[in-house]
Formats: sequence, structure tokens, C-alpha cells
Amino acid sequence: MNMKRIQLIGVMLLAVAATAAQPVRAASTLSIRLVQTTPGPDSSPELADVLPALRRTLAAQGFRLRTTRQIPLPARQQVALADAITVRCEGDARNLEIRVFRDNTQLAHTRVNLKGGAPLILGGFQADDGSRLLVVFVAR
Amino acid sequence: MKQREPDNPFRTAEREALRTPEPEPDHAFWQRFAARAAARVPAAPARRARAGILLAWPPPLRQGLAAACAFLLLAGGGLFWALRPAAARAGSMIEFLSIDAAHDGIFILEDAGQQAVVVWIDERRS
Repeated sequence: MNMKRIQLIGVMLLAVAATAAQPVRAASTLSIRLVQTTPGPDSSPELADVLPALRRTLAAQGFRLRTTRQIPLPARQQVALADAITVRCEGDARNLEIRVFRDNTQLAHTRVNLKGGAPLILGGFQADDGSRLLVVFVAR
Repeated sequence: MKQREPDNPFRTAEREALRTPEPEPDHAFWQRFAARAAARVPAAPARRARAGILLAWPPPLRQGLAAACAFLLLAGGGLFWALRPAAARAGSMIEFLSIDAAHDGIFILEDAGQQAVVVWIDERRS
């Protein structure tokens, strides 16, 4: 095999390695959505990006968007959603601390590493009407 | 004008020693030439054999082998990437979780399609 071929293969392998090693851009915005399960299959169109994941993993098939909030990352703020649910976020996407409250009572506390565009769904909290509430976090 | 000295025995011997030999006849020269040309030339691949067994292969075989090696390398990398642990593949990861609400169970699910992580708390509310 001549040297040019060896060099060409080497360059191709380096290009593949460089592509795989591209640094991931840090997310700058956190989207927080409060979602309520519904008995029917109808869902809010604003949830189209997470609907497949919700339907694949949860028993409910209908989801209604209650509130949407966007906060900058890194975050250090408390966001009021609906149904007396409040979320407190601290940190950047790679080390984000999330606390969920209802009527100022803490329901859940978690620390997550959020990948850009990959949703974190935290829920199962009971609403007054017996349906379930869940909070969808997406870092972008 | 300078007279030539008569030869002495030493000069005669020297002249004899330096005398150009008589050229051989033409037919004898060409006979030797034809004999050398007709002799078998020894095979020359000694250099190739020393360079390595792969270089002794025909070029299409060597190129095929190189392509196969490159393909195997890339396929191996792809396989490693696809089969790496789920924790490394997952989009978002939960590093800590504490539930304060009264509940009947907690489920942590991963949706590979969207790289979503679902924490489902089966809250029990009185």
C-alpha cells in the first residue's frame, strides 16, 4: 500500500475521532412545563416534543399543558406554576438542583445532569381532581 | 638530432610486459556474448521477500486487506459507541433523588427514543 493511501486513511480516522470528540455546548435556557394527565387521548400541541416519551413510558395517553416557564441557565430562582406547584432551580444544566413544592411543602428534591434537548419528567403528584401532575424540564 | 639509444635487456623486458595483447577473433567474442545472453537470469524477488510477507502479495489483495482493516476499525468503533453502558448513553442523569411526599412507589424510567428520563412518584394524598 502506498503512502498516500495510508495518509488518506489516517486523515479519515482523525476526522471521525474529531467529530466524536466535539465539545457539547452548554445549555443556556431551561424550559419548565406543568402538565396534567387527562382521561382521553387528546393532548396539547405544545407538548409535541415530549409526547412520544410520555406516551411510551406512562399509562396515561392524554396530556394537557397547564403552564410554561423559561428561565436562563445557570439558574437560581423559584418559579410558580399552577395548582400551587412551585419549582426551585439552582445551578447549570450539568448540575441542576430541583425542588418541587406544593403550598410551600417540599414534595421532591433531585439533582440532575441535563443533556441539551433530553427531557426530564418529574411527576405523579395528585391534582385536586384526581388527575396527575408532572413537571417537564428541557435544557436548551 | 638526438640519437635513439640501443635497447638494453631491461627495456626490452619492460616493453614486452606492457605490450597490448593481440585482439581475439570476432567469432570468439560473439560466441562468448551469445553464451552469456542465453544464460538464465536469477530470479530477483529477494528484495521483496526481505521487505515483508504482505508486500509480496499482489496489489489488489493488499488494497482489499487495507480496506477490510479500515472497515473493521470503523465498525468496531461504532459497535463500541452503540453498546456503551446505558448510563453513559442516557441524555439526562439523576444524581440524587429524595421524595418527601407520601407515596406508594417511585419509578425511574428511561425513554431511549427521546433520551428522556421519567421520575414517576405515585403520590398518596389523604
